[in-house]
Amino acid sequence: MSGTALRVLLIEDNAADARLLQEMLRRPARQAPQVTCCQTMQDAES
Amino acid sequence: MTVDVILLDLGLPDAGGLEAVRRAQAAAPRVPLVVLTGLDDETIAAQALKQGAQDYLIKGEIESRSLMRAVRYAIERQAMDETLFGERERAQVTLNSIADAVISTDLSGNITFINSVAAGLTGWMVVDAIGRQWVEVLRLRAEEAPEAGAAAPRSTAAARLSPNSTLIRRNDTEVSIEGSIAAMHDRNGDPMGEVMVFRDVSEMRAMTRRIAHSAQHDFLTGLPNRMLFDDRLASAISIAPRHAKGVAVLFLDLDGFKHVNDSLGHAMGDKLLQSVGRRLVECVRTSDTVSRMGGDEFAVLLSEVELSEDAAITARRILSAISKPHVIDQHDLRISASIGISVFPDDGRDAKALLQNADTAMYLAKESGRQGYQFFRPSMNHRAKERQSIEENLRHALARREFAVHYQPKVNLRTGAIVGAEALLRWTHPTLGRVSPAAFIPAAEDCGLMLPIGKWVLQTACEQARAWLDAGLPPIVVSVNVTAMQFRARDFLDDVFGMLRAAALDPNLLELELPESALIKHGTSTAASLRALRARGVRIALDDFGTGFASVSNLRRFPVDTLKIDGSLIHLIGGADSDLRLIGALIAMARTLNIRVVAEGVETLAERDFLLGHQCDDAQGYYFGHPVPPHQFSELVRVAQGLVAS
Repeated sequence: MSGTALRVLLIEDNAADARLLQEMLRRPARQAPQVTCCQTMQDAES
Repeated sequence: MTVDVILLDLGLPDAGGLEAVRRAQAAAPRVPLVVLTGLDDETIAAQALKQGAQDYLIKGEIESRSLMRAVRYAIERQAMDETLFGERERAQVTLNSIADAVISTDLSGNITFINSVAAGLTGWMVVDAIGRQWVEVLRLRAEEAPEAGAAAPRSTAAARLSPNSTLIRRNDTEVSIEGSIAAMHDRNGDPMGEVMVFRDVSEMRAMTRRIAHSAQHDFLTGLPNRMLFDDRLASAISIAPRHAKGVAVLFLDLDGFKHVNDSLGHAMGDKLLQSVGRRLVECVRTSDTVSRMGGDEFAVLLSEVELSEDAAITARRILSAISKPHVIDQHDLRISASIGISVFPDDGRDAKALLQNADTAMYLAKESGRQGYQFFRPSMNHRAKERQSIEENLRHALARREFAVHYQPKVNLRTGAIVGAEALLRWTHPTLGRVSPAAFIPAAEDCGLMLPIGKWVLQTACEQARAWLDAGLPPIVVSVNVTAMQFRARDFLDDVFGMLRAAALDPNLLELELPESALIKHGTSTAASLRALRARGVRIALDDFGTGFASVSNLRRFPVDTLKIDGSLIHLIGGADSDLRLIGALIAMARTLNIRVVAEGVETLAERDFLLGHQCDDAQGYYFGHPVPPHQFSELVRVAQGLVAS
């Protein structure tokens, strides 16, 4: 995995929680993961 | 969309709790999953882990470092799970694909794995076997079962199961197996269980048994062969002194078995040998050994014999049993045997000597008239050696030109003219000297030399008859003795005709003298051969009439020119009136059938006069002349010619 950014799918309907988690994930400046966020399961499945 | 990890809230509006887990796993099957839950939903989070989620995080307690660690660990665990699954799958498929049965246990001996071969072999279903003590499933015969923990706890080497292990299946049937047990260890080297690998070797073991059996038994009769007999004899000899008992060896040879083989074929001969084998076994105790030594020779080992007479009793029982008719393929075959007996320790102190001396005694039993038994005596060795020497020298006699043919005159009783000559084989050995035909002809027959020797005599006689004609002698019929075996040889007729052609001899000057026994087997083909010979002009004489079957029907059935009355009957002349009447009747009967009569072995004037008086045609014997070499015979003919002429 080293060398390429981690790809994270975040499925969270609560926008505040989602934002907080994205920020936490991006906190290490070096090689911050790519985060994709979905608010419903249906969004994620599509 | 390709992702490395999913962070999943368990309180989504369209999928809550475990439903969310299930759907996420369905949408992204191999992607690690970290679930997010509230403080009061930790139970559901735990269930999510059981369902395959890698980790869970409680909202409100998450901080950046722990989040990233959870994400990375989830990815690593998923990768490890995949690897582990692959390894397990590979092991499982391999273990279920191999031909060997495999069972593994935990430290308590409970089965943790059993492959399909092991399940099939033990008769246990996999689901029933898992969790049971291995000794319940891998049931071995008590004396073969290894102790629990048979493999050394610290050793990686496998302990072998007992080499002749027998598995008792769930349905109590038995299977021969071989295999091993090895200990399994954890990463600290501590034992964690055992692996048993085994396989069905029933067929291999059965084949091994068959091979071992056939190495020690005769294929035709199933009796022990010579090797096994020698072993048992040696063993009996070693035990006998401790028990103060004797051991007897009976060496048995069938009388005239060659004739059965020659006349009825090998298949019939083989069945007769099997029948003889069975009867021998019925005549002895189970502790005794009956063996086929080869050909028509058998040996019987009587262990723990009290008296020599016990061996004689068994010999008599055997002779009686064998002489009863053997019903084979609707034929009643009759055969007799000759038996030689040697007894330990008097007749030999080892197996070889006992067997050899019993063999020697058997030969003497044969010479003493067959269908009898003889105990070994040291003096027999001398005669046996003599016979052996004759056999060895006979093999070279033909090539070394040691044989000669002498001719005995056959005289017309009425005119006194020499009308024929019987060709008689003589053997002079450079060191043994002149060997009696009575000594070497049976030996030649026994060792299969009679065919080439007989052929040589026939050829020599044809050439001699031609030579006499060329020397200006009157035509003389040469008679040649032919054995039953010679007569039935495939090329016999071709040989006779070929020799006549080669010598440019009129077939009328050749007479073949056949014993009556040569006619009685294969009657149809014999009659055909005789007719073929006569059609070419070769004469046929029935030899030794009056000593065997003396069947009048044979005289009518077969085309015979001459009847030779045996010398033993001729010597009865001068005896009782009834004997004289018998000889007279024989001559009269032959004349009625238009068969010429030759009296053999005539030695006295009284015999000659009687035969002349009863109109016997020709005669031979010492009264008229001994067998002599060809040049002397031609002199005899010339002298007789002069006498007859004058």
